[in-house]
Amino acid sequence: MPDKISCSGCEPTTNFLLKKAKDNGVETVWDRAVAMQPQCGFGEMGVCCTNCSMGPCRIVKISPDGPKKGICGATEDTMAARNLARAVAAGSAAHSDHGRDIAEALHYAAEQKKPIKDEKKLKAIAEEWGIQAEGCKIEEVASKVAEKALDEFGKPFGHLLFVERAPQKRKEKWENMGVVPRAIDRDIVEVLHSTHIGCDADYRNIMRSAVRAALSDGWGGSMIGTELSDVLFGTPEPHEVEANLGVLKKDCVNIVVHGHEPTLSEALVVAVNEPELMEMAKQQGAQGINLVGMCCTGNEVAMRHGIPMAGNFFQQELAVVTGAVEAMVVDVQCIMPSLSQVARCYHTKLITTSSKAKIPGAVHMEFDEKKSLECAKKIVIEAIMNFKNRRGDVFIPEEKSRGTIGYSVEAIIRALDGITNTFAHPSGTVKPLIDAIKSGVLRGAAAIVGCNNHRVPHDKSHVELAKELIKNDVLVVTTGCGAHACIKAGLMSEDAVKLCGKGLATCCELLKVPPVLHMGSCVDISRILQLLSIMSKYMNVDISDLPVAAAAPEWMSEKALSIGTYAVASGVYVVLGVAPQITGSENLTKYLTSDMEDIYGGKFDIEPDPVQAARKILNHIETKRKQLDI
Amino acid sequence: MVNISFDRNLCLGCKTCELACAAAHSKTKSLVDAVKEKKISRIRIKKVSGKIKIEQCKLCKNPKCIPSCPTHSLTKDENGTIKVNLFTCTGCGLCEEACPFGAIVLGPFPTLCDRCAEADEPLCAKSCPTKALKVKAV
Repeated sequence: MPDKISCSGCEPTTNFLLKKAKDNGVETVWDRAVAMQPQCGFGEMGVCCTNCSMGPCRIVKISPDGPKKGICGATEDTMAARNLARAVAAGSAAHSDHGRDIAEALHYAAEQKKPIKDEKKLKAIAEEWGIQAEGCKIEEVASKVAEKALDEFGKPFGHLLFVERAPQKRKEKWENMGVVPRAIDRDIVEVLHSTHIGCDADYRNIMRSAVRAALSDGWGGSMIGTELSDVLFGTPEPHEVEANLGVLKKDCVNIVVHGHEPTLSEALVVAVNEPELMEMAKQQGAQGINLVGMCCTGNEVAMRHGIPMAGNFFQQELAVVTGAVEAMVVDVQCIMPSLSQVARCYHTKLITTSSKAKIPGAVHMEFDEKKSLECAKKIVIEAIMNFKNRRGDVFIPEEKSRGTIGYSVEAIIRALDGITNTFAHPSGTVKPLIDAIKSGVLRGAAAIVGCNNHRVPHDKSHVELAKELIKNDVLVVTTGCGAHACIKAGLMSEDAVKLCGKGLATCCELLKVPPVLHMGSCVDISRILQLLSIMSKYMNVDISDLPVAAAAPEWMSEKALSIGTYAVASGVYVVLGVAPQITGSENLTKYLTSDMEDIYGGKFDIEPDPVQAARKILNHIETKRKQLDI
Repeated sequence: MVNISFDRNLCLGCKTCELACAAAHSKTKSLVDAVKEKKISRIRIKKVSGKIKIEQCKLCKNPKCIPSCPTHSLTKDENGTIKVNLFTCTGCGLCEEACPFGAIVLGPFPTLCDRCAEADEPLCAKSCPTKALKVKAV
């Protein structure tokens, strides 16, 4: 926990801006984290329950006196499990609602006969879902796929269609545990129902519901979000991009798009390239319009269009502090409410666009998917007209880094195809990757995902963990705010190969890829599931047999809890850098960090130190290699 | 004299004591009114250099606050607590500066722990869920 404002992870950019914030009398997340100390231990341990108005109830663990049960009789196990399950459900809801919005966008695109960027992928999904595509117009296929995707949220019978993508052994495990996700909304609702006062009191059964809601996210909402975004906006391909707050331009109208759903950001990408708007910017005295992305929406547009990545969760306020941002355009998730106060200290306009996320003090310009370009243009005009209001006090840090990003599963397989023997091997498989792992040149792979959290130094855990892993010949894939941290640290550049062990360095040079692969936003962790699934099917093993692991060193959101839970339930070993609010229940802690391994083959581990976390991951990978006899 | 002991190893930092104190000094002894009346808690749980710390009047034998007051508005009661004469106090804040324990906060006059003189026992200790705060009569 920080005693003073500091960010050792991404100096000097952040520290310069933190100093400017201080000089300008602006409060940031770091200040509020200090002011919040001490944080309530009951909440921290997950043994405070406010689910009914007999409460709040708290379980006193620390001294012999004091209540050991809630007023209804709920034990610490019940309380902690209920709290965790509700958080998982909220996370699953957030990702899945994002997925639903994309499905709706695809539906409208079909209706309005807008171009579909990846027709091949659309047809592949149609075939996978048993939709007749042959002889149909592409809009008809898109419309049917969109409708089928929307059905996934509330269909009365059966299970989610993407579950079929999982390896057979995995599906059997889920069936045996009764956690095969059925319909996304239903699985989330069931968690809310069963954690209501006087319902489920068995922490193991509460976790069973939570696991199903989480799987509904990973193999449902998130996967729909990723796949249909690719269909509608294009499947990412490798290309170079710039990152960090240095991507803001002094002489341009700077628009930061922040949030999650690519629908808004895609429309903005089109709008800022409209000649009439570029002309308008010039008339206002600017050189042009500079669109940059923040957090996951930043990842989405960087992956597909090479829009610069301005920064991650903890940098959102600092972007405004530069004094160079004409508009910060936001949609949903991870948008700090404090932005409107920070924006007020400068000329920046905070523009909210979703009916799901309004912020007092912000300008609300609702984004309508049916009139996407029109809405986006209005927003861009608002930003352009604000350029003249810029005050003198502008400071844009010089620091920016470059890296190659855009590694969708398709792009990874294409890179692998580059080194297959045309005569001996079929293309379009993960064979070269598996061969490298089997031979031991690559020890395995690890995903580094998640947010920023004041409990660990900003970005430091992401970067140190990644460095430690690549040094030991473990290929790293990353998404979300972790990806921002890695690209800023130069881990997606050509030079990063110098930090790798010999084996990984050779692989990277052959494949012409960086050792840390950017796979997208937080919903795109479904890409990682997909890759794991393809790998395990190719090797004819379960996901839990693979020499792979995941880490969320700086996680903070409910979405991260959902991701962690579906990863573990999919058979992945997940190391968390920040302890979840469950430690008040020894039983639940043991369930998550040990029992789940017996059930699902994956488990949680908690390790705040990135070097130690790397050690644990490497040990896990070596154990799995031994078990596979490779 | 009522002394309150504090065991930092038991404190979870939930600040229930702060809420109870403010409520105890409100007109209707309720949290809602304490907020409305802008009552200041006379006990504060803080974290300094990673350690939990309490700020509350310790009923010093030789209090530094009393001689620091230029208008002689602070006096020691028979039960050991410090009383403030609101008619003579100017709210200058010298007592706040003098107290080595950070126990005095101006709001606008000095607020000091009165050990809940009007109640049976100090409400902070009574409300503490982990018994990190305990009453010790001396």
